[in-house]
Amino acid sequence: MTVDYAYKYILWQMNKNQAGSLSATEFGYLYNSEQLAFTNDLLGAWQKNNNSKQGNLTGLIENQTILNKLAPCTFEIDLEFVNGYTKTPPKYLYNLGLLRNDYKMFYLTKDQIFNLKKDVIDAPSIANNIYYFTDLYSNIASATFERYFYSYPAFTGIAKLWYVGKPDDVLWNFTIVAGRQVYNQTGSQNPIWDDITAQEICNRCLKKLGVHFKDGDFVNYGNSVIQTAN
Amino acid sequence: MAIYSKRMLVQRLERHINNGYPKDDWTVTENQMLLYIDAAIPLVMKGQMFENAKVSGLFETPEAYLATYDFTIVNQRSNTTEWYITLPQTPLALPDGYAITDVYFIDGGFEGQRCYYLAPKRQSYRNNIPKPDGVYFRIEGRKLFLQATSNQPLYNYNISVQMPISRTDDIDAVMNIPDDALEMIFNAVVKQLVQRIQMPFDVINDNLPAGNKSS
Repeated sequence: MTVDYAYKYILWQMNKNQAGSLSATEFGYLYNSEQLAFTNDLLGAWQKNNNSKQGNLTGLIENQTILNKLAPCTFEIDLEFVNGYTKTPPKYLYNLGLLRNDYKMFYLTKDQIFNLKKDVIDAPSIANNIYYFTDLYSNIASATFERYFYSYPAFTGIAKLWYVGKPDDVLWNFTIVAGRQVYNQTGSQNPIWDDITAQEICNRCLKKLGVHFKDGDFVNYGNSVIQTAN
Repeated sequence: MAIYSKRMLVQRLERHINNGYPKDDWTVTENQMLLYIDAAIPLVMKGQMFENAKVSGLFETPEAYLATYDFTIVNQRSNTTEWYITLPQTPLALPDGYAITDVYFIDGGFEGQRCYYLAPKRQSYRNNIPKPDGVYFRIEGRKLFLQATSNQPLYNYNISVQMPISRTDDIDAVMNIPDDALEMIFNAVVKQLVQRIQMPFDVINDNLPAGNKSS
């Protein structure tokens, strides 16, 4: 689905409901916020385990349907650790897997680290390829504040990361022709999603617009299309 | 598939518990699995020894668990004429003569004289009554002490020790375990792991209704 299609579709629905109009900038605000909310939902905000599993919701339920939807913002990257630190990729949202020399790096919460230091069963070891990592917003070594991973043991080298990243913002680019905004494919950013998902995000946008315009019918319409996908 | 290594057993357990490949939330490492497996093996073996004794009337160490290790004697206990070697693992808690089933010398490519087991509590008597010439041994933890009746130095002699083992040198080594024990070992470990993964680690049962949680 192109960004032009999404914009026109929303304008058409609004026009049908006689609910005013939407500028290209407003469309950007609307669609981008809704696709972020949708990504968050896919990442687990609404997911429920139903396999009688105990413990925390771990977030992303990695089933094929959800991973398929997230495929356009799923990335593989070689992370370069230096003395244990590496910056996370710019769009990084959620770790799907982190491997060093094809061995899993286990995620640690900060309150587990003291136990790790005394571990005799699986002590962190470069020689034995036993690695752990945690995430931070600081790097003591360089006194900088950004999002980092820190590894135990602290190593220098490459680790392979699979992650879910933030979806690219859509942009309806235009040129002014005779005083009117005309869609310009060049410079525009289409939704990265598959058509079905992009359509669902349009429907969520309509719901949001209904709230914005205080139009109960519009909200109900948005809700019904989200619930029934019709 | 003919060779059944501990790694294969570890992976079989992982697939079973996870119903497929383990995912990111699986935090039981290979080393932890090995601890469970190594603990289950001697329990199963002992059960089988008693079962076998019911049939044959003889208490025997099943051959499938046995392994032979070769050593060169280099260590002498200070201030005595005893020499010792360090075994690959602490012998299992079996009756005398079952945890170390055979000890013999190797000389020039041939099996030499076999050693006699002598329980330490009997040593005081045996030292004062006639006994065959040769080398006697006793066990203390992982150490196997040897002493010749003539007090002859045993330095640089080669010796072989046969014993039932529950551990392997590495995770890829073939297990000394008979197939009719595998299922029991598997079940024993599954029991431990199921208990472990059902342990709530923070608060939450998923899909609880809104409101304060009771745990």
